[in-house]
Amino acid sequence: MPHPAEERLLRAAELARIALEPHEVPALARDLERTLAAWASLSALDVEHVEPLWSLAESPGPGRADRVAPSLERGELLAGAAEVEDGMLRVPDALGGAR
Amino acid sequence: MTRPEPVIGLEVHCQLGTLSKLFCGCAHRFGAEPCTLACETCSGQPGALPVLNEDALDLALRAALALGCELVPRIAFDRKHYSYCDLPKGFQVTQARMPLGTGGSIELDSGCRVRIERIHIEEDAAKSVHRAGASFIDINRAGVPLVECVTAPELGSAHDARDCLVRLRELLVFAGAGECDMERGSLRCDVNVSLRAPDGTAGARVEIKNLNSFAHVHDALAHEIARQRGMLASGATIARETRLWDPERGETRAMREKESAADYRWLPEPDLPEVALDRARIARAAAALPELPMARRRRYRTELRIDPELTEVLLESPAKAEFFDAAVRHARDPRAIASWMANELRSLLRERAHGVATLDELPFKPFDFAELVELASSGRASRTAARTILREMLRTPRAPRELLRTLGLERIEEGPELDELCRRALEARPAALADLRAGKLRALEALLGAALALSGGRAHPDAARATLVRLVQEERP
Amino acid sequence: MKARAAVESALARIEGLEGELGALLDVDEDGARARADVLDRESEPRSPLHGVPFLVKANLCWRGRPTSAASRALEGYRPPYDATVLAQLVAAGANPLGSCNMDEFGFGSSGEHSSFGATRNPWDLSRSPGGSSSGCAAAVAAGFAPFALASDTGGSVRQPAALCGISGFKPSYGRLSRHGLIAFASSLDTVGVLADSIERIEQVLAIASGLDPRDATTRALPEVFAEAPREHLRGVRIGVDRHALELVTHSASRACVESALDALRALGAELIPIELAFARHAVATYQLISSCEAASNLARYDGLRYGPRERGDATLQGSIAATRGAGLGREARRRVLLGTFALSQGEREAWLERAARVRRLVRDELSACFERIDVLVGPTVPEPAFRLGERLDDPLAMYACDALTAPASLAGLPAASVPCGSVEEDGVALPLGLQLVGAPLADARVLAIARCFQSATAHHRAQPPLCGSLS
Repeated sequence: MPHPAEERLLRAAELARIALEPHEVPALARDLERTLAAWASLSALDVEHVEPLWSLAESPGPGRADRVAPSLERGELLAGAAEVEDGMLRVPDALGGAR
Repeated sequence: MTRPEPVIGLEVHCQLGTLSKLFCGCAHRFGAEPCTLACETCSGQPGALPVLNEDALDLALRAALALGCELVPRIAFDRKHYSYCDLPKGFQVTQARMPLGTGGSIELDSGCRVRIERIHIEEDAAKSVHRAGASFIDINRAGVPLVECVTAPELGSAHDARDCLVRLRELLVFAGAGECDMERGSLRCDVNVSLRAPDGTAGARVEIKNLNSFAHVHDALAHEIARQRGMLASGATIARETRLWDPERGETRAMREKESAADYRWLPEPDLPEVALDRARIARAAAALPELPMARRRRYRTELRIDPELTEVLLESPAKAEFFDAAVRHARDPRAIASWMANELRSLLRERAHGVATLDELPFKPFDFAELVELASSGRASRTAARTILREMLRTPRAPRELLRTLGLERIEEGPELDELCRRALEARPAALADLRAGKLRALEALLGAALALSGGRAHPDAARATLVRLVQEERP
Repeated sequence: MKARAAVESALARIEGLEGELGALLDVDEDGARARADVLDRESEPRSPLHGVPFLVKANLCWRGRPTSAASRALEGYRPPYDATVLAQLVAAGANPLGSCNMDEFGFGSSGEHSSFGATRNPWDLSRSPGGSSSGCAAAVAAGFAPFALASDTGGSVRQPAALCGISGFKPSYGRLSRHGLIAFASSLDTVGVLADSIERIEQVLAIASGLDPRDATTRALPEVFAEAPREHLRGVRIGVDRHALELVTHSASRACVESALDALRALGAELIPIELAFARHAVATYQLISSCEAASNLARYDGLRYGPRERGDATLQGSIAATRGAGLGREARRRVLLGTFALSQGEREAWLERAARVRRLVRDELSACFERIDVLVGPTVPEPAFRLGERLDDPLAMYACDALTAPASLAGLPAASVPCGSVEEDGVALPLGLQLVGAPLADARVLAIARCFQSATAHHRAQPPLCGSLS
């Protein structure tokens, strides 16, 4: 029966798509709990009338004009790819096995 | 006992007709070689950043205004995280908190209005194909600008859903948002459908994907509604799920991939700071909108009295409607303009006469077209002659009046030439002549036919009739 | 042949000392020599940095060269483009030598979280140089190059600068382009500079800054970059947060910082006490926000388009999970998992959103100070370099390193660290740093004040004993 802290960790690992080794789970779960406990100090502050600050860029640069710029050569774009076939990236089956 | 009623909503994705992608300068083109239209930004390389394409925002604004939406005061983007092979950054940049427009509506053919819950800007995913136990990704489409339009779940039948999509597409095309071609993937539609029980309780919502044409939308919904009704009737529960339409089998089937409820971990996009949407920009977008299709349809049918069928031809594209409106400004009879556009001009374009296939390739202006139609309507040229002139106009930008003369197609309305033609017609049809002498006026048509044939269609029918009758009368001693 | 000579001298130093330091991940010997030869043939210097060798942190994209951010997830990855700041410096005639080790993706303050080996502090090889710009700081302190381009998200330039006895600067957010900086936390990441002097930093910033059409968070800042050098600080109002000083518990370290403050007074500055109520929440706020943004920015490392790939169970999601499991180190996992949790449905409002609101409080309070003062001064770090291994399994202790540097990051303010002396531990002199934080966009002002302090005190001239071993 997984500990609630471990359950939280495993859910996060599933969402984040990180395969964890079983032996790391307890330690990571502890780290998660301890860190959250330390962060809990923020809950004591009164922020009811304060808007979240999402970005420091308050007078941002302009957007782009709609002009075409050269794309990367396919060779350079795909140079680091693990598998390429017919000019496309070949990746494990997204539809999960037998069709 | 009343049947459970369908409750349908559409989710439509329309590619915006910009030259470059939403956040980078890569071109977006249909049919390019795979992975040749990508850069560090749209392929999600480390360190690459998005910069907003200003034209994409303008086109999206036009779409939102055309739908009658209320606009948001600031443009803000959000990251929507999920894991799939077609998502280069592991998240899609879209608008969640502040969609560009809300509260619009679209008018169906029946006159009902369907509410548009929201329209927002987002980037397209890459394209993936699956075969032989592997998946293949073409990055070209990643980052193409889209607007997503979501209707309220107010459609009540497969027929209405299809009509709604047709009207929505038409509106987006007229607004100039994009080409909206379902076959080329520049317009895509997912639907969601549930059944509402007679007591008003809503059933589980099923989403259907992989609908590549208007027909698919109709057929998939018809099938799914029947499927759900069948399940309810037999006491089975309908699962809330996503299904794929299989056009070959004519059925929807559950997607193989089991989806847990998605947790998108929304994050306001930190690389694209919020920008205020200023009034001047909105005004420019509004000014760029032409008369919208529904309003045009009403005007053509009721004010100009064009037949419904012809009206639909004129509304097939903004180019056609604009050409028509421009021609009508110089014409006496809009109905004649419409008829000539839908019939003669259309068949010449289909035939690619003189290599001209579309309206924008025409070497002549709407003004000239109006003049041609007037020549035909007024009788100065026979229909056949006018057709010949029109064909010639596709080759050379000369005025129709001039061509009438230079091609020798002027109507013969009077004079010795007409008399001579009629005499010959009378000689060629002795039986008809006898009938006419006997007072049988029906014979006149056969004689008229002969006179027209002899004149190569140039004899004016009324004048010819009158001449034939006069000649016969003059015979009498 | 100054450029070539500079390269040869750097390479010789690297050969002598790198083995002990572990500061570098890649050296472009042939490229640097070739560039130097071209630069030497040019008749006019392109800038004050013409022919000057420099290093880049391994999270700045260098086209065609291994750029891994010290992570296995990017092992062997060669970017198809250059970071804007790198291109700007190269265009100005500076000569990139190679790339520096760091804490993986920027996660860490010790240099121990690299997937390719830890970096050591040149002042004491058993100690940490700080992080995440660990390799850059160690390399500059060891004299491999006069400056390095690095990044500072919560203190990653300033803290290692202080621990290695060199100068470091985090510009205002948006002043330098992030195009090509491998993202950790997008609303906090700033390209920064580590260098042998503040004067050098001013030279670098004059070149590598400005509106970049590839980065929508940059801004066109019209001011001229450097202020004229000052000989004194009369008329300058210096704020001191006593609470920050109290974080320096070690008495010798406290004395060192206090004498730096005395030096400022001696230069004529007026010291004004400042109270900051929200600064104590800066670490939690910074860690929360940066972890969430990190979880987001690292979502792309799935092995599908670049980087090593694991097969896993041969399904797409299985392969992605296995690839990320293999590619992300211990601290990277922690940050991504924390960030994922704090972003998840049902948790977001209580964690991320709340932190973003507190951020506004911290930012507004800090920025408001500058109505009464010109610069806020205090210790950069609470204590000198700790021993390697000491904090490895205690993430909270590691995060506490950010306490003095995080506020300026949250607020996007320009902040410098200058050497202010050293304390002795176990017979070894360990440097400390003085941090100067300026008003929004007042980068030139901060640097001018720091430069004045530096000219008067000359702590930055001290060299680690390691360097004495080279004759």
